[in-house]
Amino acid sequence: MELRLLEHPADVGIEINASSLKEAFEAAARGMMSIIVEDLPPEGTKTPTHLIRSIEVDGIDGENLLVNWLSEILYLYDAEKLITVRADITGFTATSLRAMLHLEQLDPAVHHPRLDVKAVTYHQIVAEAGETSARVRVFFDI
Amino acid sequence: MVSLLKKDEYRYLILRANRQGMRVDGLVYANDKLIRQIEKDLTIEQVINVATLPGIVKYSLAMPDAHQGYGFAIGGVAAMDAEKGVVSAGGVGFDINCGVRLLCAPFTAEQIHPKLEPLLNQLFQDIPSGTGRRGLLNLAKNQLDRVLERGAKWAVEAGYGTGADLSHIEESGCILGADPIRVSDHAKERGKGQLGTLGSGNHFLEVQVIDEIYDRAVATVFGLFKGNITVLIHTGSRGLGHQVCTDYLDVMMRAMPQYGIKVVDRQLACVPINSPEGKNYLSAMAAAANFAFANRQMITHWTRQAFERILGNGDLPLVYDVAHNIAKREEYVVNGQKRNLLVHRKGATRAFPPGHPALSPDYQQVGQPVLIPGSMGTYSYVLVGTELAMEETFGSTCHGAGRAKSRTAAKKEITADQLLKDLRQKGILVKGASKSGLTEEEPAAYKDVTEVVDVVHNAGIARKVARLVPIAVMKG
Repeated sequence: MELRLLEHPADVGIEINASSLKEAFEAAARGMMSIIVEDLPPEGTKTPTHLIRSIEVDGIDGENLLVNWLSEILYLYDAEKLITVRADITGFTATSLRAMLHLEQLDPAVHHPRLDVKAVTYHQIVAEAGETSARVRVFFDI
Repeated sequence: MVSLLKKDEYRYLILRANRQGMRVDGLVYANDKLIRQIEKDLTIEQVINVATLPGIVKYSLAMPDAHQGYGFAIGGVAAMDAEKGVVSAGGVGFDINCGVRLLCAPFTAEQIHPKLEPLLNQLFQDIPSGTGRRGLLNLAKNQLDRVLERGAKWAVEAGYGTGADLSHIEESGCILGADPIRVSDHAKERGKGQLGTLGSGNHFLEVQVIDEIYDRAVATVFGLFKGNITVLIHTGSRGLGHQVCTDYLDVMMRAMPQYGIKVVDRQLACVPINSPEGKNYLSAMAAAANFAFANRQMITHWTRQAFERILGNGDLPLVYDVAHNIAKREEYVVNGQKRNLLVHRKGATRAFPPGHPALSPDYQQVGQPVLIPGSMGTYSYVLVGTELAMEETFGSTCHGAGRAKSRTAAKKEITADQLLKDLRQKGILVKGASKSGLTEEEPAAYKDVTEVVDVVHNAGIARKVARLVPIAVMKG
């Protein structure tokens, strides 16, 4: 898996090349969180406040699904101050997914929030899969 | 390749012939230098894309601070026929009613200077800012619903400010037709702990000195005098508005096929204004806009308290409060005919002329104050609306400097410590919640606000009244 930060005049994007769309979606979740929180805790982090939550998301196609997936993770951060440190997608179709999110409660003494991501956009969005590879690209409104 | 037709020194036309599907021409306000900056990114392409939307009237417009956005360019204006046109959630943007308000303080620069640092510290302590910070209130659901219905009126009734403030806010701080039922639980959950917070990114609160007056008569009516202090507050509807836009982009995208609408960029998703989805969006948008008016009203209250505590006088009258991300139903004369339109302003400011019925009696004689924030180390401007803006730009003008560089490029150029040192040398104190957030907002990341303002002034779609220079900046 390879993640690259993308530039936009006002905002920031990420592009991910992975072996599957499922893997790329999982990486996109961490990619977005690493824009919001400086030095995002490693995937295996388990503090006493560690939570696991299952979520289900749907969409009319892959791009819509990607936006809805990341928007749900953003919602958990913005509304509940829960940082997704790891996302395990347990069920994945072209228009829906099920996932277990590993979450850490935001603690200003430990985590360093950097920027508010306002939203996930459709600007130049890509969610495409080949037989052995996949690519997603998504920009965030800052 | 798109060809731009230079109409005059400050206007560039993008003729319909440039692209199949354009329903109207594009019109970009810029001088020779700014048009070259605008051409560097996707702004022109986005102006063209907006020109393809159903029901668009006269022009797809871009202001001189325009830069690439999502779907719509930031600095874009598009008016749709109220009966046959569409509403686009992306045409308002994620930060619904992001806007600015200006207060004038009863102090001169000399009087405030010895207490500037404690004042900035007090403001920083009293007004929550930065990512991840919760507000000082945690509203119950029914209280939040009242905020969404009543906006700044709710805030004044709850003790944040005075009734006199309301007449100096666009729409008196409360857009009618707001319906909390049309706002999702997700949006309410994001918003309930964020009322009365500044946020991060380009949001700020600045203490400024009025260093130049261009129109003394109008400045006097606005309460602006050379050498006096002002406070400029820039923030919006926080997570609540962001979620409303996210929710309705999805709703519009799913509904478009039933109305036979296809868009060239998904971020332009739209539905007929009078469809159930369109009406629901406009009710939710109005609710989010009211949240933003209440947000700025509460921050105003805490600003006054901080002045009272540190300087012994918190009497800071509100000059004006304007939205720069909004869709409004307004009436215009187009080709000699009165038309009811829905004007999308995406990073653009309403700029109504003298005598407009929407203005407070205080400003009937001179026109609406137009507030144009610059970047951290540079000037901000106060302008006034003109009749020409009603004829040409649906009563709209620019909204700021407009970004020139990406956040990553800005960060590579300067460290936070160097930036703070440079600004201090220029006499500007800065306090920011995040160091890297600061460098991303460095002054060189923006266009020259003076050049932007000169274009709208010379083109006649707003007129310069006063220039403000920052002396203390609080960044989220």
